[in-house]
Amino acid sequence: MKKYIVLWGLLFPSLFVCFAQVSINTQNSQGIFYIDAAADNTTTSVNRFKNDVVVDEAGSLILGQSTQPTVGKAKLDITSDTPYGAFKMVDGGEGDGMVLLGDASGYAKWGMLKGSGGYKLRVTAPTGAMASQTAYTLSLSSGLNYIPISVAGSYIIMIRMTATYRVTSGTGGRASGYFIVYKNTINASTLGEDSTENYFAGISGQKFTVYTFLKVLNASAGDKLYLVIKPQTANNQWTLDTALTTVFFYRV
Amino acid sequence: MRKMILSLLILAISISLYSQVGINTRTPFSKSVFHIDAKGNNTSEYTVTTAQQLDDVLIDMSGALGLGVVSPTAKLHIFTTGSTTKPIRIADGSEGVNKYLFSDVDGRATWKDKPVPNGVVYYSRSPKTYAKNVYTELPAEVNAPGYKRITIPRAGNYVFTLRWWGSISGLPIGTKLMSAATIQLRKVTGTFESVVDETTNYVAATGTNYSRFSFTMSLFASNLAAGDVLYLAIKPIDGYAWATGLGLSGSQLTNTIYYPSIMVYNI
Repeated sequence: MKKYIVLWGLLFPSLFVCFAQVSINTQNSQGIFYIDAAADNTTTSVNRFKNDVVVDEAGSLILGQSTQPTVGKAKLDITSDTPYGAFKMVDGGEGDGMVLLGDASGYAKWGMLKGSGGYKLRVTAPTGAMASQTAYTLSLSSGLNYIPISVAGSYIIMIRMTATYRVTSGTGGRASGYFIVYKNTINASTLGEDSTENYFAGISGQKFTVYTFLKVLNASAGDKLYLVIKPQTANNQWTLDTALTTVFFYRV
Repeated sequence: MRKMILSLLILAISISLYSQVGINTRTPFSKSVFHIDAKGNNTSEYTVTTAQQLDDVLIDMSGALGLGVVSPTAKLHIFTTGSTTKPIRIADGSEGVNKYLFSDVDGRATWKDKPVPNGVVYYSRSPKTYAKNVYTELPAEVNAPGYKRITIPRAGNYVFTLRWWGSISGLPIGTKLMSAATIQLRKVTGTFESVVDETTNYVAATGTNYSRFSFTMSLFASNLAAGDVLYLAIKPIDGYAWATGLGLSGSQLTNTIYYPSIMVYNI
């Protein structure tokens, strides 16, 4: 029994120090620390080195090379057979067309450049009838009721909206609504950063479409852009078709 | 004794360590869980100079990875200032001079050319009928010589804006109608076609001699590659066929302003 205790004591110290090269899953290693993840370096597979992870003698971390890695060409040196296969960073700002941007301290984030991307969001709410002269803040498929600004700049919001139009009193047939973008605070007594009033001819009980643009100049990182729709003409009620109501957001 | 050997055999196959690990060092950094000192030049587990850190690879107690730094302040923290080593190399076949690192929808990265705003308007000038309840391709005749579809010049995210100009065929004079059509943006890959974006547009129209009406609507495609081929298809769903060219004569018949056009630009 004493022997066991000694054995386990040796194997589970609080500190494991090895003043030598360490290799895992391989006996033929290079560098200071070498993992042959698939333990296939003794095979003839052309891919046998691609699963190796190595720290070389200068402390560079090497992953995915097709030949036996020895010296990294950069501190972090990643090779992949396919685009998008080497590096992944999830910080909430990722998306098609987003670009890696740095700040003064070298911290990286995904952000939008002019011409680099932009994205599309579905509008998920309001789903009920929108009353005349009442402001409604849009909820978006991102799960937010605003568009977050991660990079300071000027932005365009393109809105394509389809709704069912109802005349609640009188003949109707022609009505309007306000489309407004607010920065950080919704103050219904103002017209926000930008706004349009759109008139349309409609038939009560049928759908109509509005296609319009809003612009926000010189937004700062951290700003929140709220989109508000307000049926304006009296006795004019809208119910959004959320399958056909979409917002595009891009930098200009 | 046999039990002992068995025990050792099991441990030789798989060793788990519930402790701090230091490799090539006798002084693993006090706040690390895993510390490689590639040059073996650290002298203290509490104080590490910048020069001593440059060759260190370290995982701290929050799971952050430091390369060249023993106190990472981001999930992956690379420090090469003062060293000739560059911080990151990503070789995935897309690398090249002056490329930018781009994300996909999942945050995976690849190199692409610097984004260059570009745009083309594809016009048309041939009469065409758009049968009701059927998708018909919108022509892109001008600016795409010899090829009627839209070819993307550079990788990027694109807006396709349809500027419709045409007629509702056979709408009785005086009839008011919410004209409606579903518009699809389709991408062609060999013989396979996929719908990239779709919407339905409703706009008031009134029956007149040629029941002309117009509207503007945009569709969106992300992550297109240079050379991708797309087109717009439209399906009237208001009970009538749509048409272009009705009532035009002489030079009007080939004037692009009297036909739908498609503006394509990256955002």
